[in-house]
Amino acid sequence: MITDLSRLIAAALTVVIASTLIASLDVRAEAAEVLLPAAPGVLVEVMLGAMILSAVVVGAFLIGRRLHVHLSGPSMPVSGTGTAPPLRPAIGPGLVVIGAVAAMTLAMALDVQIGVAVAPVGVLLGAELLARPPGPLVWSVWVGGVVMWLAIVIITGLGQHHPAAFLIGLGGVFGLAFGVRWMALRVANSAQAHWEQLRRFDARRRAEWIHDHLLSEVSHTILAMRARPSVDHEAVARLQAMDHRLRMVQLDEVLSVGPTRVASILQPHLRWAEAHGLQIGTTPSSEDLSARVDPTTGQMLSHVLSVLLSNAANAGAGSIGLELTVHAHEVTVALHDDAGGFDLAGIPIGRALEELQIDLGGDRIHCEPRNGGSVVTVRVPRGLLIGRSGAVRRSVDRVVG
Amino acid sequence: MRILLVDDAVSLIRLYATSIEQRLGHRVVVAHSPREVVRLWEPHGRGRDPEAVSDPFDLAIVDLAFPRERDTGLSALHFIHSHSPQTRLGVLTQGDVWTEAVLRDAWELLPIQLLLSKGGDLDRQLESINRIVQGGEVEVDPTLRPLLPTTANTWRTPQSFRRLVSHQGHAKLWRALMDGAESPTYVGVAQACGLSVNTIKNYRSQLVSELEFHGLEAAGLSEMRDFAQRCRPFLEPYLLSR
Repeated sequence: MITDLSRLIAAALTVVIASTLIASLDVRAEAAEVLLPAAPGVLVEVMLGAMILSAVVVGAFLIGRRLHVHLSGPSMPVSGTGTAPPLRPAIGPGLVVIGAVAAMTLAMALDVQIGVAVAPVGVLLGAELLARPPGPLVWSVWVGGVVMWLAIVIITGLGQHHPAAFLIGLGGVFGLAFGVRWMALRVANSAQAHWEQLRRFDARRRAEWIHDHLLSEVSHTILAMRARPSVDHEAVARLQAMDHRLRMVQLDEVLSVGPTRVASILQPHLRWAEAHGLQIGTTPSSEDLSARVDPTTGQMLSHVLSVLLSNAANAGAGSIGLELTVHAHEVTVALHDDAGGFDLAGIPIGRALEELQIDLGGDRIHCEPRNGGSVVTVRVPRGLLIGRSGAVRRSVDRVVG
Repeated sequence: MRILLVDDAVSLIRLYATSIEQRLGHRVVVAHSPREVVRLWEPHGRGRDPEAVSDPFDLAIVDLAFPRERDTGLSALHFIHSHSPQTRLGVLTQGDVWTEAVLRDAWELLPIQLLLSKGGDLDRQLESINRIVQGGEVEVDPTLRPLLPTTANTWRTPQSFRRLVSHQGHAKLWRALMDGAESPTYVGVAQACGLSVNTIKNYRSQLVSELEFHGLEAAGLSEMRDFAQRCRPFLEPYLLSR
């Protein structure tokens, strides 16, 4: 419906611009005779040009504003349910052709300069180009369309014996089309940036809400239940599981805001380990954890920690130690346990660990026995997308937020 | 022994208070916001603690996040420490991303002796509280350990904030950031200060290297605003003197 509305507005705009231009010619002629009888032809042409330019600028502005609404209108990110609206053409190709033919016919019928006639076509074309990524195929189609249109302009110009019409038509169509595209893209980019800012704000607000309202309540309930003379261990365990899930949701929200400190990723996992009775020995220092990682790396790191700690807990570990080092190209996680929970050679290994091995590639997980337990070291690549096939490829479109 | 608990989570703090009183036998005073902490030391009025001066608290345990308040727990800790230096200081926190910076500031700028993680084992926490009020020491909760620096930043002290307010222009900038919008802009800050945009940019450049000692790398206006709001109690004395 919005696209239809945009088309309707664009069509109405075309008519308004064309009518204004044509009317301005008559007014110009009459005004020039009455007010500026001695005005040189150049001055009149300049006035005419200024009026055309004003009409085109107003038209482009209106279309750009419409596009702004079009971009940010369909989904309100503050609601938390919005998705990024795609850039879509506000005007369909059919309307461009119809508008071009109509303007041309009108121009020829009224014997108006070709340059005037092409103004609305340039505006329409520019608005349409806005939604088109500059891929070679799309550009060739559009350039082909413009060349066809110019051919009509040239033939008409020759028929009217106005050779200057060629240049006016050429400059008019290209200049206006690219001008409108440039202008509207600026509006669109600004709308996109605004949307992104709102999305981050919204994610941050949700994370804060989880922290301030949900988690504090859950923590309190766990404490209150534990303080009772007869503790319902099953209910406490369920609440602890809920607490961890909420912290994971909170972490997802934090990661979606942007690069996140490794300490923030590690912290909920340490809480989980402590809640599950694991004695935490060595932990990385704040200095080790002060680095920030991009959201993709952060999510993978969180997944790795989750798998390693739950394997240790399932293997019956009583105490664990954790080392975590952030390098330029990877993050190394080493988990020590006293239960031998990471025997990769053993059959069967944990399903999650097996999947992790597939996700990261076998050479990124290393396991060795130590002091009656085992140490598993996982190297998580930074800024990389990790495919299910085990192949690691560099992220081209870095996920931001 | 007297213990002060400061947290806006009413039922949680009641649970802690009851547990401390019944199981440890200490007296507990509760405040629900940094403002209520200030009132405890006021000579008159509702909410004052008549014994605050004559019988100082042995331990104050303060939550760091007060979403409905302008101030954080850092303000309350600073106030308690400046009015009752003999009171031992403790922090009760969820210890996640939202309180991480405040926790680090508190750890570096004040003599924090006890860190409790919300949701941790109550028995162990009560044991830690008891040991602290008896004058002992306890280890940092392992879930909070990764959030704290292992080596003390001896350079960073409450007095080091003086270098962030070298002249009246800096004071204006900090004041504008403290009281300003969430996403400050140079134009907005310049208007609030009554200075030019270029002057604000110059001031920021002058402060960037100094802010690195406070853990802020190449801080922009947003980071400076967060820092100013967090560290308000340490900055404010120097703003007033300019």
